[in-house]
Amino acid sequence: MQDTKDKFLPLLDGASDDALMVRVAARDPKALRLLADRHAELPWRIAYRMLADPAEAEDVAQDALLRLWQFAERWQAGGPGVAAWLTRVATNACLDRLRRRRFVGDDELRERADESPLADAEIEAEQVRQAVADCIAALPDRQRAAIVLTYFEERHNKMAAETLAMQLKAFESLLFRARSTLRACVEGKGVA
Amino acid sequence: MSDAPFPVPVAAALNRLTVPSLPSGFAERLLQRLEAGDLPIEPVGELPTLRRTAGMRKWRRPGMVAIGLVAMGVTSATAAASGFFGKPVYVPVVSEVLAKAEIVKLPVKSAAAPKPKTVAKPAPDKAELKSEVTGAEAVRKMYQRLRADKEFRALPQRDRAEIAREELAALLRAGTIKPEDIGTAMRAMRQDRLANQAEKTSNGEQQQHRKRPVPPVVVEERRAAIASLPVADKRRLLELRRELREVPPAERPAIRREIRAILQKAGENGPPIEGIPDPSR
Repeated sequence: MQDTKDKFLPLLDGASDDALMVRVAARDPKALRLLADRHAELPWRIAYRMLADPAEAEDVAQDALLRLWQFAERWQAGGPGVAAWLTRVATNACLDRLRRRRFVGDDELRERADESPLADAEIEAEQVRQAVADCIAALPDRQRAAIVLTYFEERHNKMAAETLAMQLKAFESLLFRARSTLRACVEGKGVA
Repeated sequence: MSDAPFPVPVAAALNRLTVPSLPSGFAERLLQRLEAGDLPIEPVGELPTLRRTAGMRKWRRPGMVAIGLVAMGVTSATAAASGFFGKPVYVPVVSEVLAKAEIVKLPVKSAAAPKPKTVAKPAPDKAELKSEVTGAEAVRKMYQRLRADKEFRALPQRDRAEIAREELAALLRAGTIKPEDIGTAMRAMRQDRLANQAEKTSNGEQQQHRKRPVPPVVVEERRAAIASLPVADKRRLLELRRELREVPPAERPAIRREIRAILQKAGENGPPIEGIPDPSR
């Protein structure tokens, strides 16, 4: 399989996302591999920040790409693009997982933070990072998604609203509440 | 990152929440899952649903359209009832609510805008319908009865003609008259009228407001004088002439007086306003 990959990858390497989706629809795993190389970071980042769990974040990122594989036959070229599609699928998957967590209570299953000894500066940085992560985790699910999409992923409000299937005005209201809560939390933890 | 949604210290703290690179071997594990057929269980639609169930969404658009239509209907009914489009129109419920709130008065059916069928229509003479009087004589009786009615005489010409037409149609339907009787009666009534006028003229009576022919030179001079009037006066003159055609006879003298006043203003530098009947006389 590795030989085949080495043989065909250079041919597909310069292909557009839409061209790769045509290959994916023809059930070509190499095309999916290339799409993963290009875009897997995006669902990974979203999931990592929303779920604060590397293992779950990887699951979400892989699921998003496998869903792209499943969806390939219905893919329409010239649309919003693979990145936008993965953003929406990953965000929704994260919201589903957060919702499920409340019922299952699998907080304990989350990967524990690395507890190996760190230098002072690193300890301080880690404290800030942990405080911010806690504040984001304390936000309601949709507010959390709004912050991740607009602040960390730098999506425009309109695009983020579409990702969450919301009207723009409603999204802006949600985002305002999210920012206020997050700011108060971060300032309250004394890390700002 | 974005356009300063947070103060700098908060933004600096948030920016510490970095994300590590993808775990090594991510792509390989992805392809292994693919080969093993370990695909996500949930079927993928066009895009995942989030907020509303399909059942709710199905009714959302028609519901909004229906609400919009109802709102538009209520708005236009309220506008019509409150006189937004001109005179207030009676709209059931809405007009009464507005009247209660003392926003508008309930529209009153005035003599200026009568509904001929409901307001001023004199009751048909049963004798006419019961064929006691038939033919052209029944038509004459009908006209005499109408002209004797004060309310009828106060109506504009158009409404009077409509009422007369309806009365004639009723007589025709009842079989009291035939179509040719109408023509016969009209001719007879016209002759009577001419005979009356001739008699009055011979007795020295002259109709006060009978028009006398105005010499063409005077007409031209008057036209020039009117043209020299201020625009507002000319516009008012046109309005008054239009009103004169539309209002009932009882209201015409006041309009004529105003026309005369405007023409007198024009006549100060122009010819005398002869030929315009003076209602004060």
